[in-house]
Parts: sequence; structure tokens; C-alpha cells
Amino acid sequence: MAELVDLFVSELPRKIESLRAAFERGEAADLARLAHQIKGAADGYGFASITEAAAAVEGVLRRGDGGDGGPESALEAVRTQLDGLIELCARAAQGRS
Amino acid sequence: MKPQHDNSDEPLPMVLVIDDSADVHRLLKARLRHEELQLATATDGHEGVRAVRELKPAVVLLDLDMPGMDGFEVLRVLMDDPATVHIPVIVLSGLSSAQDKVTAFDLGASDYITKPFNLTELRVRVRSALRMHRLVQMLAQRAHIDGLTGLWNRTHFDRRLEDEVAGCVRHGRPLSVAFIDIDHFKAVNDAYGHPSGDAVLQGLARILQRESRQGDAACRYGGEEFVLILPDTAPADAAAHCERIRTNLEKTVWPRHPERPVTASFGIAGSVRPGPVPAEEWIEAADRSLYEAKSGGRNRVAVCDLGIAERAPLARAG
Repeated sequence: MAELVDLFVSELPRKIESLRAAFERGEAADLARLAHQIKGAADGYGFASITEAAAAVEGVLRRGDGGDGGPESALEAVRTQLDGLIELCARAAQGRS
Repeated sequence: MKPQHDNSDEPLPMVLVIDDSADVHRLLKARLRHEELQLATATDGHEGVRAVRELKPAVVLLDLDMPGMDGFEVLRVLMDDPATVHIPVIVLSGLSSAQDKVTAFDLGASDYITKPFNLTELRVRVRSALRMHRLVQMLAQRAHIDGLTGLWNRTHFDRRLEDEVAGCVRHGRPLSVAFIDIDHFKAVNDAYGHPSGDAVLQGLARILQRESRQGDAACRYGGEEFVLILPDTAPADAAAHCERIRTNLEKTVWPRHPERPVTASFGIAGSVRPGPVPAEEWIEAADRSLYEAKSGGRNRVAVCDLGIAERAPLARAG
């Protein structure tokens, strides 16, 4: 199992890149799918907080708003949640290397 | 029932994971590594449905929230297809609302595990689904087996003959069907009692099974009548095959009545290249042969050659 966790962690930087790229391109569907996949798996590898953060990203994308309407605040909400997720993934990746 | 670990020659049951995350595939592979199963994976709904149809897994682990065709849709398709409706599906999902669970069960899911999943729970639920699958398989097979002789029963024969006739006609391959009727069976029953009659039925069944080749189907048609479906067998070869069985039976010494041998009559219908003749006509033709064998003095083999079908004009040209 330890090797599997290492494998999962070693792939986190690539996942961070994909998340960033999807966000830059404005591909909300891709972003939601990536977040969803991370959500489903991370906890199984012992990263409950990453699952939580990924669920938050997915949630804000699915709802399509930042709470008080407006495309600006929606984008902002996604960016905030995504930053949180990327931060956690980066920390996990560093902790292992 | 045979103990589970005894079936070392049987392939391990297959569990198919349909989930869009490769991380989940790996996780499940690692966690189910020590279970007696083989794991296959599919990464989306369409691929999943294809894999179920192709691999006929014993259990499906299904993610609900997938892009494109989601898990609910996969469930709908699988439960709508008679070939897949009996395969237990365990939903493995991050969606944990009661409504999602109700929908999944309504659609035919047999179990539901919410992600993140407890791995011990996952293992025991997979085991329980495998157990269910094995029982369903066993019942389905029993419904096609004759209880007294262990041969295929009439239900199986009817379906199998249709299939073999259609297959041999389509591929231009030989086919023979042989009816077997024990001579004066009632006299054996009357003289030595029904248990002796049963022993004779079982004895003939053993000979039929022993002489069967791969692809043959030995069935009990009813009472003291048996029937063999012999694909890829020309009428003359079927006759030789039945002659072997006839001699074998004739030479058998019966512990309950060693002084009284038992014989049978054989009626064959066959063709080297059968035409599109319905299954009932095969049965009627074999029955006529059987009558001929009986009226000719019993303990013999009679053959009716159904002739060779014309090749389609295209095939002749080529």
C-alpha cells in the first residue's frame, strides 16, 4: 500500500498542472471532472482533507455561482477553492519528496 | 455443495470496476488483492457496459458520478438486458444522499457503498455479492439438469437443439440428433421394482456421459427416453457413435439383476450439410428412425439422412 500512496502522491504535481490548465482555459467541465476524480480517490490514500477541498471545488462549479450571483464572484469563488486544493496537494507532494 | 477452495480448476470470479478515476482502480486492486477474484477495470459508462457484456463479470463495482454516461444510466442499461440483469451491482459512490441511494436501488443495484469507503466493509460486501452470484448461477444451472441422471433436461434440450440447428445451418456444418429408448423398460420396473429401473436410467446416463465428446449434449428427454445432440457429426459417424453406446449398454452387468441384460433402440436424424429445417422436424425424423429401430426388432440403430442442402448460388459461384 505504501508504494501506492507514493505513486498517488508522485502524480499530484501533474494533477495540479491539469487543474491550473483547465482553470486558465476556462474549461469548467474539465475542472469539475478533475476535482471529482481527486475527491473520489484522495481519501482512500489517506488524504481526507484533499478529498474535502476537491469536493468544495466541484461543489462551487456545479452550483455555478459564488453565492451572491455575478460571473465575477463565481470565478473568484472557484479560484479561492481551487487555490485551497492546489495548496493541499502541493503540501502533500512536498511532504513525501 | 463442493467446498469453495476445492475448485482450483475453475477460473476465479471476475469483479469489474467502472470508475472514471485511475487512482480508484489502483486503490481497489491493492485492497482486493488477497481476495479470490480477478479484477477488471473500465473508465467510463460506455466502456463499462461494453466490458460487462463481453466479460460477464460475477460482480460490478459502479461509480455513479461519471462524465458522459453516468452510473444511473449504466444501471438502467444493465438491468434492461436479460444477459446482464442477474449480475449483482455494488454502487460505489461519493453521492450519499438518501435520494441517490433510493434511485440506485430502484434501478436494480444490489448494494451501495459511499466513498470514502471503509476497506473491510468493501471486502465483505464484495464477498457477499460473489456468494449471491454463485447461488444464482447454481440455481440457473439446476433448472437445466435432470435430477435423477445428472444429464441435461428437456428444457435445456429444446433450447439447445434450436441453437445447434441454427448454428450448423448458418455455418454449413454437419449435425446429427439421436433418440434413445430403453427396450422393455416397463418390464424391468415391474420385475425388479422402481429402484432397479432408476439404476438402469442412471447406468445408461453414465455411459452417455462417458461417450460424450466436447460439444455433444446428452439429455434426458423424459421417462426412459434420452436424446443426444451431436454437432459436427455426419449421420454415418453418429451411427457408429450410437453403435458403441448400444454395445456398451448391452454388455453392462446390472448388480440388481445380473441375469437380465438391458438394451436400447436408437433413432438418428442427421445431415452432412443441413438445410433450414425447423427443430421439430429434426425431432420427428429422429422419432421415425427410432420407430424403425423398434419395429425392426429393437437393440439396433436406425438412421434417417436428411440430405444435403443446396448451397446458396453465391457460394456455388465462388
